[in-house]
Amino acid sequence: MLGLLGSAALVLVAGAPWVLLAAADGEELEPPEDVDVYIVDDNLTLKWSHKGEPAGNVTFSAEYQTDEMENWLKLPGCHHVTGTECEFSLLNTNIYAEMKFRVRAETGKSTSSWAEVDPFIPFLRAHIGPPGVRLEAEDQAIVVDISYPGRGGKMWEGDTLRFQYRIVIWQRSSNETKTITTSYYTIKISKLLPETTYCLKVKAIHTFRGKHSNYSAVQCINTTEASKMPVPENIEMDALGESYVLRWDCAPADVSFRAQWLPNFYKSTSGSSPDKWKPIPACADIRTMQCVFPRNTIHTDHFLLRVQAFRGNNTSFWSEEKLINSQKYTKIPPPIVAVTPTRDSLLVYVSCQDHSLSKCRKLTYEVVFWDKTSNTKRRVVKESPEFTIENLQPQTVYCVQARVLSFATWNKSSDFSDALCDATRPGNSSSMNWILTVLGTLFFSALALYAGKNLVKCLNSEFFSSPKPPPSIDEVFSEPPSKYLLFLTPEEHTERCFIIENTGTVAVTGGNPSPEGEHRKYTSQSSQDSGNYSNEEESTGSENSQGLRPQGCPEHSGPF
Amino acid sequence: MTPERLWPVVLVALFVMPIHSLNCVLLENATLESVRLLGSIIICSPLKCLKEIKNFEFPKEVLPYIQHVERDMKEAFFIISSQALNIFFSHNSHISPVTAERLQHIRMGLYEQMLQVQDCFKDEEKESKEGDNKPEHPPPKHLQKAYLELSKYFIRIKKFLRDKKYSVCAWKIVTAEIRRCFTIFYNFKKLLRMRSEEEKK
Repeated sequence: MLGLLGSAALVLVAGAPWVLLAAADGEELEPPEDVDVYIVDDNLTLKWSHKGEPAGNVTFSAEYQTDEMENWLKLPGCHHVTGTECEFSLLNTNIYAEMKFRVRAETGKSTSSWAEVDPFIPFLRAHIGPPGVRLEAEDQAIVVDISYPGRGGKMWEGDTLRFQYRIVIWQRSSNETKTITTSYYTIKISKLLPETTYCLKVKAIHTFRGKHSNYSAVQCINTTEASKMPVPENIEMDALGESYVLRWDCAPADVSFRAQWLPNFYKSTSGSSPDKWKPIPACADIRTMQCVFPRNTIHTDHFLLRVQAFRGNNTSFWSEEKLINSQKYTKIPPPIVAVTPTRDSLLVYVSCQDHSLSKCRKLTYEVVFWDKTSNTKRRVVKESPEFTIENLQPQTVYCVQARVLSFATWNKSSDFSDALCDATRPGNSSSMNWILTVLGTLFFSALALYAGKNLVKCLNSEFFSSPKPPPSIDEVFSEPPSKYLLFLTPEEHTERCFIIENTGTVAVTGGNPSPEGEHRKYTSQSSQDSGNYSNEEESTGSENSQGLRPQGCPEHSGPF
Repeated sequence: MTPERLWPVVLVALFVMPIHSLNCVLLENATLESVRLLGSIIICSPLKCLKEIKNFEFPKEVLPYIQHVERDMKEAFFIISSQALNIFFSHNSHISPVTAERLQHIRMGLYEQMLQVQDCFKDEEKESKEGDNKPEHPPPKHLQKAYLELSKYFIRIKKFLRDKKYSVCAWKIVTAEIRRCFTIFYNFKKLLRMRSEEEKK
């Protein structure tokens, strides 16, 4: 009791909160709740709440772990913090891999259990911050230089080409806004009024994640007073053989001009400096409002052109930037045609001659075909290069030509290919005839063979003696002539038997003349008995594989 | 056939000659053009570069995430093109003018490919009017996974370049790797298309 009172007095004297008392008494400290991580670009904020304790007595510490790490590590900037949130920048971790965070409350030597955040992938959770915007004024234009959200950080470093930017611009004195969506990082907004204040804001859109940032802070800028050196306008380009012709308009006649080009991709890279523009040598210093330069000056399909007027050291602002798609000026070669004829159709495959990057895109194919003898042409148009021209006559020569009708978004067509003529294959009737002929031939051959065989048989039976059946068959199946039954002679009953005693030795013995009385007893009945003996002999003979005894020649070992 | 079992088939398909397709021809041409362009810088690699060759661990597990032969493949090509272009935009002041010129051609080619993939997207989807109130559409989960894995892969490549101080050898090795990546996807697309055609029959 005294001990308890002493403890209470100590607490009262020290003014320590009940939490401390609880901790000292060994009760568990409440862990933080509602722990969450909020990410904008490379900046992370870990937030949580905690019940009950007055500020300052409890501190919080956080740790993190990635799926590539075995142990938890202390989160820099989030150790022993007194508030309910802490901020930190992206660590040297993989933003595309899962991360885990945990926080606990601490007081003195007591700590709460850890409160953990569900694992998440920073890249997928991150919000997009507004892009950086820098403005530069001309007399009739504003150059907007955009930097990607969190520029210099890791979060969007690999996604600079996945952003689109939406620019909203308006005159400060007006409520009318104009919206421009672009994937360029530097854009020149032209056709503005000199000495006028324009305001604008920009937001970023991540095209893969489908997420938008907030708009950047509104910035306003005054356009300069009108330049004395007017800017070239209405930039146009055309193709002339292997050259490009660049034309523009400009008011004063006593100035020179220079033109430059820039590969389009530079516009889509953040922080690309203006010095990437390249001069066009043939258009570096010219007095006319057009210049002609070889196509091979520029090595890419998509590029920008700009023109500047100058007189001595005085220069105009650069003209608006004209985006050129060289496909528009590329001549399509006539296609190559391949024809495979069948009985009543032609399979036509049209292929573009040039499979390079810039040609043969989004083509529509036109095939013209005709019977060589009639010259009446028929036309088929398809987006596919494979054609099947059906319902044709067999064994007829048809000619085919093809051309490419459209090209990307431009209405252009190639010349027709050379005519390719081929004959369709023979028709069905012809092949059926062949089949019938072959079958008929086979049938008649078989018939003739059968008839011939019968004829030969007939002739043989008529003009030649019929073959004798083997003696044994004759003996068994034929009835002995009645005269033999009545007048048996010893000679006629004498049979020649062959007994082969050993291989290679054939003994020919004469049958012993039977007594006459016995011979007379030899009837068909006795012949049957003979068959029985014969069976016995067969079985006996089978024991002696080396001996052969012709049937019908039994050894009469019985009582006969 | 389960996606896991597709991978050996892909390896086999790498040696199968591509078949001309009618669908999105321009993209396939562009991909082949990129492969050709990337090949132009690899020629005559000095022997000393062999020592520096690194396994960038191409994420083959990405391939099963590509489920739709046209839609997903376009996205995959767009991811690769943009990430590859991002790498080729890296600092490269210490290389010879010849290599610099080749790298420039590669940048142009990859950018053209990116534009063409965008054209492909536009073919399928109406060009968005994109009002401010347009709801945000997160990509499907399987594409998110593909995006993450490919991003990790390209970070490894970028780190290698940085560690090797953007040397000529490092550029050649990286270019060869990116070319391989394009080839794998090109052939995988062919495989998927053949499979989908078989399923239709």
